[in-house]
Amino acid sequence: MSEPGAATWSALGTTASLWLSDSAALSRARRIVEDELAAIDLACSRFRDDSELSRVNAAGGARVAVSPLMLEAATVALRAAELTDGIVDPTVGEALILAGYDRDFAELDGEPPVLVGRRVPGWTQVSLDRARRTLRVPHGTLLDLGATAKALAADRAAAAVGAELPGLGVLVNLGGDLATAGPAPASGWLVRIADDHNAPADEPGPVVAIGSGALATSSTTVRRWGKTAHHLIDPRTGLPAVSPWRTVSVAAASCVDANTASTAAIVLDYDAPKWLAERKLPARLVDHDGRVTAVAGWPAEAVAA
Amino acid sequence: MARRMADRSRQTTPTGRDRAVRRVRRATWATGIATAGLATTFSVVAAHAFKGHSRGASSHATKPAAAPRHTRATRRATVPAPQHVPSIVAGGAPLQPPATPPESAPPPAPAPTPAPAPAPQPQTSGGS
Repeated sequence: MSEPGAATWSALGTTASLWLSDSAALSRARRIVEDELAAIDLACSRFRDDSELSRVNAAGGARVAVSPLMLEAATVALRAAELTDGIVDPTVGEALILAGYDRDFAELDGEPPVLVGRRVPGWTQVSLDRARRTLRVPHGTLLDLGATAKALAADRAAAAVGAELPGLGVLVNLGGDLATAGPAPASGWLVRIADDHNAPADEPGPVVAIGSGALATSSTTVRRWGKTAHHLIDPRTGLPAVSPWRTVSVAAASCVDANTASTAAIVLDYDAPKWLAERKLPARLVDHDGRVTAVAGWPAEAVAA
Repeated sequence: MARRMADRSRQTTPTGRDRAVRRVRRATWATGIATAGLATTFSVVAAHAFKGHSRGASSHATKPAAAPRHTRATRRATVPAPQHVPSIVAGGAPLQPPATPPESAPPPAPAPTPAPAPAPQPQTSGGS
């Protein structure tokens, strides 16, 4: 009987974890995942001058030819915006910079500047020509694909390993955004829910099992700087979202859908449980006092020993 | 000219002064009513031109106690004038729920003989 294997390393400004049902193929699987993450980083990073995203943002409103991967990332971001009616909007780049998130998160320190709210330009201003494979954003508008690109990377990486190593079960975890492919272990994919994906392994927290698909968590308790700012921008105000929820976890068929919904739920305020239930997306919402709201079949909690 | 004005003031009677006072009073009332009417009209026009947040989409505005940690940010922020907030209605291909919802993790089973392959350690899903 083959032994499972796991690996963890740093990537995309967060922690990448890989679990494979056969440790003999772990090195090969890790290479596949690393290649996917490197490609996503080169296409979608806001902090690399040589990324395609930086090229699009610096084009001054001109149409820019992009790679198929960037095309897919932009399509995913615009779909997320459409499905949330602009609540998860990729044109928050300038708002993030104004809020102080103007460099790689690890380099941020100190208080953010005085926050000045301004509604973001809006995803409908972005022009994507799939036939000609070009992307254009208006002059002065800055795209940020942070809300969807990491989840897309998890989906793509898990699918790539599943395709290269058929018959094996694989789970890819990118900073709490999980995607799976192949057969699940007998116990299911066990996922511990926490405010922070870096929470110590012995920290108590509810554990759920998913049989397939994906799970993502968004939280305002992490990726914060200063005392008040965090990375989840409300496009309606251009400011870090003021939400009754500190952490939202969502299960979905894909990590992109799970992350789109969990991010939207943070911004959607008290409407979030209804919004998630209407979409039949199992979710767990935690308010600032630690009270849990479960919707759409999210299970009663078992706390890890 | 000065002589003509002096003649006219001499012709002014108490009845004429009363009439003039009444005319001034009526003019004052008319001006006041017109001012109030114009103010009301402009208020209605402004209210329609700059719609506020919908009750559903910005309910935190009516429930401030739920987000006490952010009050400082809110106080410091300069928020633009109320704007139209889109309703949350998804169009296009919907978000796909999972094939099956998550389940509670099974309790650890006693190790039978022979021991099976170890179950994977839980992965952690948290904010990042």
